[in-house]
Amino acid sequence: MDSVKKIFISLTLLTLVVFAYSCSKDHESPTFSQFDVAKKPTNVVASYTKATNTFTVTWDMQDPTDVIDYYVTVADSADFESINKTFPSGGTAKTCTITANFIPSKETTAVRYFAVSAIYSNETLKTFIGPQSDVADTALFVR
Amino acid sequence: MRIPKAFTVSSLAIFLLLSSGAFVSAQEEESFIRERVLSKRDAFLMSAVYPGLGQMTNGQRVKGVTFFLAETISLVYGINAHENYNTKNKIYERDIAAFNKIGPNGSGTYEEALVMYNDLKSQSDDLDNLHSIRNAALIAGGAVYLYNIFDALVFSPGQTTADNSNRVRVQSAVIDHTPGILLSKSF
Repeated sequence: MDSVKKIFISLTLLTLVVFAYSCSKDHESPTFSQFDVAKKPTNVVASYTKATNTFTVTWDMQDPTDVIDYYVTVADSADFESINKTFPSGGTAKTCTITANFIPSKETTAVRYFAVSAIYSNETLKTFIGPQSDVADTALFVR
Repeated sequence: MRIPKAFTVSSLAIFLLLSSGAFVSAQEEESFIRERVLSKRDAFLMSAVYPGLGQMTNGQRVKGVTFFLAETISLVYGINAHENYNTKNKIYERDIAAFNKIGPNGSGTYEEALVMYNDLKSQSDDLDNLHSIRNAALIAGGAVYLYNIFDALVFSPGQTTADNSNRVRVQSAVIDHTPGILLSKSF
């Protein structure tokens, strides 16, 4: 009966090992905390200057730490090809001027949509484009 | 040498009695049967090889088949969940490595990270479910295995059971008015 006892004890130990193995969690859960420092700009306002045919976009940034630049996105309802063009604003200033492809002498109305994102750079985020701001009020032009 | 008359008569009577079919029939009625039944040790070893085998060999068909099916279903579920888990875990590890590089690699965007994060959460939930299924199946399989061995050791009929419906039988019989030995096996 000794051999029977040995087999029984071995199988019990084997079962316990299987139990312990199956109860262990061997995959890490995803975490988004590394991106929590990235905030979206607020109070985005766009205005059109007819004399220079340019848009001026301004915004606020509550915590500009590690912000090295801003991305400005423009959506043009009148020009399909230029929808969602994105480009750096060119520095940490919270404003930028964009030349409009709107021709006041020929066109009557046009609508533009603007959004701004901060570009972060630090130890964990390298040239990381943060969350996009709310879309700015539309700019409506009437000749 | 003179043989006593009483001894001669007695021997003749015993010989006639042994040759008679009536004596054989009487033996049959007294269940002169030697069965081949597994001992508890053999039942344990059979059950240790795979749950249910010991019980089925001992004639406990329903219990044996139940153990066999329970263990098989547990193993199929457990192994299937384990393989699925491993496959999905490899994809998950690849995706989470890419996700963790979005920031340090440069030119990543918050929206891209958010989409990947939501996808990873969904994958992680799937992995948790598969993990739970695998746990439950393996634990159930282990429990069935242990109980099957316990059953074989404790509740096995052993050598004293009279249930001989499907045993190999060796018994005396009368064939064409001649006494003989009958070896039979019912299925």
